[in-house]
Amino acid sequence: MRTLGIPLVLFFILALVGNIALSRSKAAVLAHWSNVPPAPSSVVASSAFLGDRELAFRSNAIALQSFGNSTGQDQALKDYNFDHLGQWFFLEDQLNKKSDYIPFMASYYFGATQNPQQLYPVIEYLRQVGQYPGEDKWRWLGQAVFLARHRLNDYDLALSLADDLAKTYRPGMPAWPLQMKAIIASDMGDKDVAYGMMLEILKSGSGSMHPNEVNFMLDYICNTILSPVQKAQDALCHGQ
Amino acid sequence: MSIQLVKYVLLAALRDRMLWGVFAISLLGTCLSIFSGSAAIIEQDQFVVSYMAGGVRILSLIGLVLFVVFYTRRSFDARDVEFLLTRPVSRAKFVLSHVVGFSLLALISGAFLALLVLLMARHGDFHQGMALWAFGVSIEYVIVANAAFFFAMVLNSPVSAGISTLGFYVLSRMIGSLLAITGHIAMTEGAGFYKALSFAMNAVSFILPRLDLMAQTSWLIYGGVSFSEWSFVVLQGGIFLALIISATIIDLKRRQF
Repeated sequence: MRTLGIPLVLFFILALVGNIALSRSKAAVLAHWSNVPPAPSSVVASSAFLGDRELAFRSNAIALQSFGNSTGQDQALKDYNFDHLGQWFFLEDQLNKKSDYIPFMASYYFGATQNPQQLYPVIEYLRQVGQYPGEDKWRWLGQAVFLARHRLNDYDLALSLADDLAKTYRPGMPAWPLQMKAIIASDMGDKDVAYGMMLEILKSGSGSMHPNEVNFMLDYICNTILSPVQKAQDALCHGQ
Repeated sequence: MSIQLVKYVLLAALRDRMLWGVFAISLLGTCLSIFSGSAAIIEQDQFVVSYMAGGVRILSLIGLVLFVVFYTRRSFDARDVEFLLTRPVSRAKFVLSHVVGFSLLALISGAFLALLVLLMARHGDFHQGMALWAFGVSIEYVIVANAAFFFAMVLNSPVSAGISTLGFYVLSRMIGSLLAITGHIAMTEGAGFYKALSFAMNAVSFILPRLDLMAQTSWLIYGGVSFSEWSFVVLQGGIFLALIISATIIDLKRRQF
């Protein structure tokens, strides 16, 4: 103590106490979720990754997947800002039009929101992606029809989407995209229509679909569309 | 070119454990990429490859730049350069021998990174896009290693030379985005100050190589490269290397010891 000198030791203690007091005064200020932010432009998004558009796409995709799940504070999808979310979908679409990652999340994850009225940006996005010429991209338009018809109960929108879906028909595709308009217009019950649509998407795409996507669809059919009694009787749902 | 000098550079790299450092950081980056990529719901392989191609690429490059800059400045400080120039070797030969030595190190680093990335890209067969990416990233390393050599010859401090090289790399990678922004500003009414900045950025882009077009990560995943992309990488590498090597030789020839 003597060699250091009392003023230096006092100065150190004062600095230490000041530091502790400052940190305690801000102890109540915690990281909080400020909802989905507006999306940047594609130029800004790729600049943040030194012009690597693919890396920007992949990193933003993981960020989208993690929105609302930071610091252990899980948020309900109904609390998300879906207008901003739609901006992110279209940003990602500008960075990569070939990947199925964002359509997958839009359909199966964000499409499960507790408030179906939020689904318009999701459906608009899937409508655009579903009309791309790539192999099996039309499946996303099928998902858009499903969301509009079954979750949103917006018949006019579903019919308009079914029109777009029919236009994507090419030889070699299953017939249901052509028949979708008739299926929607029929007087089948909501659940029957939903079951039929999901089953057809699953049947026609299971060869090229990622196993996780197949699992998501099976889970949706068996645990959301079907009642527990129907689930027990459906061979598709064994083990679900 | 002097074979002895090339060997001297390679020996220095081995002595400084530069290659081991690059290999170690590449392996660490690969592990982190696998860890981060596994968080994806689908397309995990594509995520891992993207993270490796984007992240490990920069880590290896930083190792390469640090070695070139500190080796060169150390050679000046220890008066190795003056000693070597007293031998029967011209100043142009001195620069060219170092260029070959650094380029070999850059090619080894690029080849190791490409090997790791290609091993992880299991989702598809080997295609032309992967070959062009591996070639492009190796040429990018050669360009940046020689740019680091130039900055280390011109600037007296290894810190400023290192920062200048990394600044050069970042600008070269972002120049496509920056030109897109300047093009947008040029069409905006008013914005006089930003127009002046845009003009300056346009002037800078005349010199900088377009590294954003050299090794695109999307090639690894989707392929689809054309002859024009191959020829651009070859031309960009050849022309920019000619520029940076001649600038280094001019600087050394003008220098008084």
